[in-house]
Amino acid sequence: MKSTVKVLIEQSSLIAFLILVGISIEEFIEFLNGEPFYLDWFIPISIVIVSVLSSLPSLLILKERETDGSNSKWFLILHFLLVYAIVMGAGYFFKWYTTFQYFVYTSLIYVCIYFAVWFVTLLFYRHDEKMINTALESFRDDE
Amino acid sequence: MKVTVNKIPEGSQENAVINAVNIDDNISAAVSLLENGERTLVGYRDGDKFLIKEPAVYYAEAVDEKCFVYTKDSCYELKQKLYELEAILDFRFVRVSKSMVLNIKKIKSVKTAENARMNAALLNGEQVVISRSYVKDLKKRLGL
Repeated sequence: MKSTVKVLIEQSSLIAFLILVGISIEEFIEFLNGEPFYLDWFIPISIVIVSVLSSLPSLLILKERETDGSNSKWFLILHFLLVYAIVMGAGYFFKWYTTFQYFVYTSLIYVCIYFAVWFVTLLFYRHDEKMINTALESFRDDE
Repeated sequence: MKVTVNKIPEGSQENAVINAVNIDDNISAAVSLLENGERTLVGYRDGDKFLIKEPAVYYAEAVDEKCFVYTKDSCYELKQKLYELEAILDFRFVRVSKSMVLNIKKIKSVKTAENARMNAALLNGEQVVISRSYVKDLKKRLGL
């Protein structure tokens, strides 16, 4: 239970950070194009809500990690689609996009953020791998 | 079983006497521990009984409600459940998935797999999977 909550908090924080990065880039490009900066009052809270909701499908990944791994590809695809549905559903509700063009932009930002989250997560995993292998050097039996 | 320990003068020959109706697995393991100073497990293969030295165990795995221990090149069935075994194994052993307890002294290296799991290469060339949710237990055991 404790580890599940920890994973959800980690995922939410990472997703919120990357959404902010996405919005920052989008707004910076609009600023360069001479468009004024404009942020509705509900955008920050919508980021928090979407971050928390988007982290919930990670429970699927946790569950999958307890299996033999034979269905991992399907779990990942299901996870990708579930998070996409949550983001676009919430995005529609919070008016992140109102035209088809912005629907496409939002989808593209989602794909970038999704893979960025995985990339960062894998970096953490690689760090674990390196630390464990170093520690094993002085621990393992000689055979 | 009632256990009596008598203190004897220094320099005397230490000895143990076990009075038992049957020599079961627990008694066999106790005898081995007293004789060799190493904990042993009682395993079965092809109907024969074997005493397996605990440090020689690579990992223990639960398969279809049965518990098996694997050494460098052999496999034995145990009478215990995996959780019972885990409770008696020493500091070398750590739970790495719902169905496996691994001897960390037998891990050659670990590597992150594509599906975000962690694969462990063992000293005998075997590969086993460490579930991501148990990695923190492994790190803790290694003092990280």
